[in-house]
Amino acid sequence: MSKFITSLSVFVAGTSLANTDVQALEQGLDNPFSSRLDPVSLRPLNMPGDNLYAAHRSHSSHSSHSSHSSGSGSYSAPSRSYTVPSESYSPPSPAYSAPKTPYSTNFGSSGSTTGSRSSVDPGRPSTVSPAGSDFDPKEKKLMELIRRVQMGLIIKGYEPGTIDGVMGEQTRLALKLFQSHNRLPADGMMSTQTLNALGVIVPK
Amino acid sequence: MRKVRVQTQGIEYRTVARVVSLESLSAQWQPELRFLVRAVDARAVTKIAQLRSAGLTNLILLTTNRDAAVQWQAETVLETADMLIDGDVVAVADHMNHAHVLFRYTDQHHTVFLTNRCNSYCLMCSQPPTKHDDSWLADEAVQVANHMASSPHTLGFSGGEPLLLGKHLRRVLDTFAHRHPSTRFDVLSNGRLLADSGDAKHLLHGLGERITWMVPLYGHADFLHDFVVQSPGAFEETLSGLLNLHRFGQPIQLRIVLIRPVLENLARLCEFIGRNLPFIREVALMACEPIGFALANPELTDIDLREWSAELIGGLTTLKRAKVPAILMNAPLCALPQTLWPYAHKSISDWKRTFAEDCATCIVKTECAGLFSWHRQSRHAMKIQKIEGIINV
Repeated sequence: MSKFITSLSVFVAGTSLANTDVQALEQGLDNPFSSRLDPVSLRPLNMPGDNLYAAHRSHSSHSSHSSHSSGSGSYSAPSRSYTVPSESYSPPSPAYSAPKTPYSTNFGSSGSTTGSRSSVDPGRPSTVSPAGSDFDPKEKKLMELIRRVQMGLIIKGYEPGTIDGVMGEQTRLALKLFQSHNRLPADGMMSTQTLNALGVIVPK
Repeated sequence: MRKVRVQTQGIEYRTVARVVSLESLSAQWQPELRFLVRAVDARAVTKIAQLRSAGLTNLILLTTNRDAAVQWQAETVLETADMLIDGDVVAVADHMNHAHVLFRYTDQHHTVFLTNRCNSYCLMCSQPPTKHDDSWLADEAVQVANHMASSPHTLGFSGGEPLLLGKHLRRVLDTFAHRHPSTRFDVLSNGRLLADSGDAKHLLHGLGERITWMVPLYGHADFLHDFVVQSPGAFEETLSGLLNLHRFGQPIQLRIVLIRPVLENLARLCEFIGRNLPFIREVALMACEPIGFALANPELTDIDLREWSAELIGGLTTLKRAKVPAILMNAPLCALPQTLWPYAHKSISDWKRTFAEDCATCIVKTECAGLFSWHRQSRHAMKIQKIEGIINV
């Protein structure tokens, strides 16, 4: 019974949310769901504001960071630079130095892009020891999200390789393949739409 | 404790795990937990195998398909009759023929069992203590806290005597409080090991007020209480423990099991509580559970509450006058005078509550506590009398 009530409250929460959207529409406000608003729509797995990671992608595309729309509205770039997340992973280039844009390098696919980055953090050693304890909680959450994406891909029948929380080449390829099979932009990015299609919830 | 028949394979040691569907696995998976992942078809079995080989080695296959279970090369749990529910926290091992359901969110009552040892030996103990070392239960309780995906409103800790866990009890309580910040907790304890104020400080300092201590008290004087709990000195220790609990701001419920010697002195006991323990948050008068030592001492424990209405009304009146709130537990409504019905609570855990045949047409069945499932009408003094009409006075 209580389980029923729980799901009912989710349902009610969903409908009231849809109503708010309708009201917003009527007031002529910008509505993120306006294109797919229907009277009985339930809350999607992730709302645009939930996904702070939609902008993370291969570092080949720094220039486009400002241009894509989904979910990037509430994203604020933290000023900390990034530490290598896992013992098993080694940075693609030996002359690696921490980039200005956080998260952009290590989760990207290897190869293609080493040239375009400028070294902006001279005070930091170029090789960072992968100590798990001083992880930024945001980095932990990103790894957790990538892990969930990897699980979602396997469950949907794709092959992202080892579930390690690292956006490696194989994971990126599997993600792109999944996107192209689901009429999503095949950009290998963990956009809110992609996560919802994968059945992945962004870690809170 | 609820048991579900299963056959397991490859699970050498007793293992705590959370039941989860394949769809919700990605949102719930954590490296330090274990998961019983339900496979509804052959495709799902393949997916789970792929997830395992991709590094999720803490997944255990859960299936109703015998062939799939036999072919599975790693840990597997085969449901043979009843089903486990998503979110269940269970303990499984090859040497058991069932899964212990340690937590099920949809249950009305949640209990975590901490030990089977006890320093008392009550006449009517429903669960006679044993002496063997079961300290592993403390670790299992911590595991249960970690594996529970949702927090219930209230969760109880029982035994045995939980205080025998020593410093591990605080570890268990802290883990639950940390993992389930909205849950309230009940600890069933005789309070005797809190008699020493140093020990009490170790356990209780900084504990907050989310825990209610449920302490039995069976008499207004040592000769009665010590007789019921079959332990000399217990009365003094329990009283001292109650005062220490009060000193650290802990809410207390006193529990009085209604057996013959207690009922004979109920008036004096209630007066004692009203005068000396006015800080008690609530007194629970409880009908005796007809199992365990109660079966061995029927002349003291097997009573029909209907014959003790006067004592119950007297005791509850005394408590009311002293402004100590009181409730009646485990007693079917038909065993109580109608004036006491407002005190009655539906208190029997759902997995051990039952009704008699006569109850089917009783008009107050939905409000009634029912009977313990081990109650036998033919054997026990308490008889059922269905209520066919209520005369409002």
